Amino acid sequence: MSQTPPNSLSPANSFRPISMAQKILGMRVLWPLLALALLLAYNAIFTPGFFNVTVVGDRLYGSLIDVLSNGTIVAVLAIGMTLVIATGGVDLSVGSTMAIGSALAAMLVIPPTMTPNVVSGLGWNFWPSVIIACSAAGLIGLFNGFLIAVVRIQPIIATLIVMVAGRGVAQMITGPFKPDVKASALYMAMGNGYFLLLPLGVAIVVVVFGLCAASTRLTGLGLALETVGDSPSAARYAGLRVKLITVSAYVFSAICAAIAGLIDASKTSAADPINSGIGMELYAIFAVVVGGTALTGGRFTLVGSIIGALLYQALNTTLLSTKIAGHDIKPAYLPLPIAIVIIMVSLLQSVKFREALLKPFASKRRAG
Amino acid sequence: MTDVAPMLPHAGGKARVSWLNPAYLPLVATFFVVIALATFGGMRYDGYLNPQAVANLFNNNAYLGIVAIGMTFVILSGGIDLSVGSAIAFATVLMAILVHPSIAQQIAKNPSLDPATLIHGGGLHPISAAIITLIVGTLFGLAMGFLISTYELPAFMITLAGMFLARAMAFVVLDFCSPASSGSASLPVSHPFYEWVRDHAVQVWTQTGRVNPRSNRALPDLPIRLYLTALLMVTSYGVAVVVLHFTAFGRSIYAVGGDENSAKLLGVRVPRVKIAVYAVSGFMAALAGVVASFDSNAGNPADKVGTELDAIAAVVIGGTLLTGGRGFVIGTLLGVLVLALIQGFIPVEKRLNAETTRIFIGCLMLVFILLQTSFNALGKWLSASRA
Repeated sequence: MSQTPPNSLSPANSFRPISMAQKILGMRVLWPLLALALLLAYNAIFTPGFFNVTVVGDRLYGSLIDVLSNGTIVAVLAIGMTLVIATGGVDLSVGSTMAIGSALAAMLVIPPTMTPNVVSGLGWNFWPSVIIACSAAGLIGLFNGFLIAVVRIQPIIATLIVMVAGRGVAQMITGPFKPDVKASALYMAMGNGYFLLLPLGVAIVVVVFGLCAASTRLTGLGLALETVGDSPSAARYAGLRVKLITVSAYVFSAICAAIAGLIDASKTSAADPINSGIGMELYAIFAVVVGGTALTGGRFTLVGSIIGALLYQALNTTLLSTKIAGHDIKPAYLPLPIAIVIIMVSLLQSVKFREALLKPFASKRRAG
Repeated sequence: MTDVAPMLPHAGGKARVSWLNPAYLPLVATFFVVIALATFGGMRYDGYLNPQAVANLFNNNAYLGIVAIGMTFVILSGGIDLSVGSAIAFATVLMAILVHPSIAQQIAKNPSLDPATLIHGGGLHPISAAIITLIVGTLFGLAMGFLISTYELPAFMITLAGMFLARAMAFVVLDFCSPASSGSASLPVSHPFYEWVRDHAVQVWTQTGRVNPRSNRALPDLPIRLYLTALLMVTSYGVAVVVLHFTAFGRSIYAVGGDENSAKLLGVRVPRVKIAVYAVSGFMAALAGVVASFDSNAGNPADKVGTELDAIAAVVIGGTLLTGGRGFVIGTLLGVLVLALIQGFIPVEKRLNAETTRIFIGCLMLVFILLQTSFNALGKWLSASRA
């Protein structure tokens, strides 16, 4: 999975011998793995009992399992975001799509009631509700893809519009309520259930990852996505259906977002149209970019994105359990280290920055 | 550049300026949207267009108008700045902290206070606090511009990171200046200067001859007041017009946005221009934050979420091309008016709130992007048929 296209594809490296330093900097999955290992090592030393895992009944307990369980939301988002970023775009609307998907599914499964000031739904079964919610999310993705591939609006603007307007849509679905999803046992199981001792969310991630990896890497679809990301016009001349490929990446990302929204709503047992998925677009982008997928599009690694999601969650858990100068670290501060890491990783990906960084080595070699 | 230059009014003496010029069409369309919205609102709701309500369009949206100027600069140069909403929130928090009395001042006033329970304020005059805030905002924009320009990083990624960074910094600064026990809600500001600014609204007009419709009795004359912050916005637009249309810096922004490579060949120092527009945007966001601070008398780290979309919407509705190189800052002012008129529907229509109106703003933005696409096609077709 971690395979990257041969270096001859990227013009920066085509006619130069690759130095050792460049080789190390160029290994994509190595860096996030290293960071994850460092973070886990930190926790092994400073957080007592971090690695303790016990079996109680049908499930495993422990901090590591919590990281896995909470990391599923960003992991599912990151899988979808990876394909979008591979095409050279970005999807800022995933947070709002999460809210829309979870709210719609919640309104469908909640039983109807005549009681005033209590949310009244349609009382459907879980599965048709989920299918409707995912299809609605698919439509959002279709809209994103249409704006980007057909109308040719920049991805950032198109998905920003959907991101901000989508919050309004989610609020129109739920009205003034925060629908409680405890009515559906299956809905509650999405974020709280267990399968083979592990959180059910992990199984969901494995299924989504497996489907995505199989359809992109066992077929030519992955290469097609990367070609579109590298150069849309070259892809068109090569006979690829650029518009279709771009649109399908956004549709897939939106469906992933709806699934992530369901897990999120299940964990908090309420589909909150205002707060569900706030900031998630940043965290998904963090997972993808830290995982080694190039921001400029043209190559992607799904394994890297999963590692990136785990890294995000481990960082999150570690920070929330630390104190600085007597102040607890609050969730509102988390974007700060995340944003700094994103900027640093973007810098490491920048050809210009690498050149500037490697200059001292290069000049020494020439002198010697 | 070649197909852009003849469309700009300042670019050469022989350029024919007419309303049919495709460069002006979006501006005309925006103007009609303003008229249509005002007519619709005026006919549907009582008092929607009374003079004070019109003045309040400027009073309540001064911050948006100011931040949209910076966004116009960035978009004209072909970039994007997503960080402005958070930058405003950070600026209001910084203002509130800097203006808040320092611990020494608080204890001097009331010696029985326990220093551990007090907020670490700066104890500065709001004017000095505003200057510091503006410098910080400019440096923030400058840093983003440096990364974007020097290392050729995608503008959306860096400013998206900046958006979350500034928002989180607002929480961190507020919390770490407050005692450990208190939460980070929002920090109220009480300073005589804030009241002075509010009390010195400029009376632009007096509405005379008002009659109570029920009793037919004459009502006292009503002064129509424009806040100093609204005047600041109007002045800023004046400055922005001069900078964009009558200085070399302004022309190089258009050049860079039109075609970066041609601009470079023409001798424009592209990196410098690109860094400068983000610095301008950071400065304007900080200025908008200062204005928002005077509006709300508080520093609120959770404030102004989604303002970046409003600002981008104002710029786009105002007729500036999202890909850069074409547009007018005066159009942005019209765009802000459009948004203000739409937001004027919120208090009278119970079904609407700030979130649901954003659906409408988003749709309007899409319509204008589509209009621009077709205007561009029209412009190309016109110039082709003329040749």
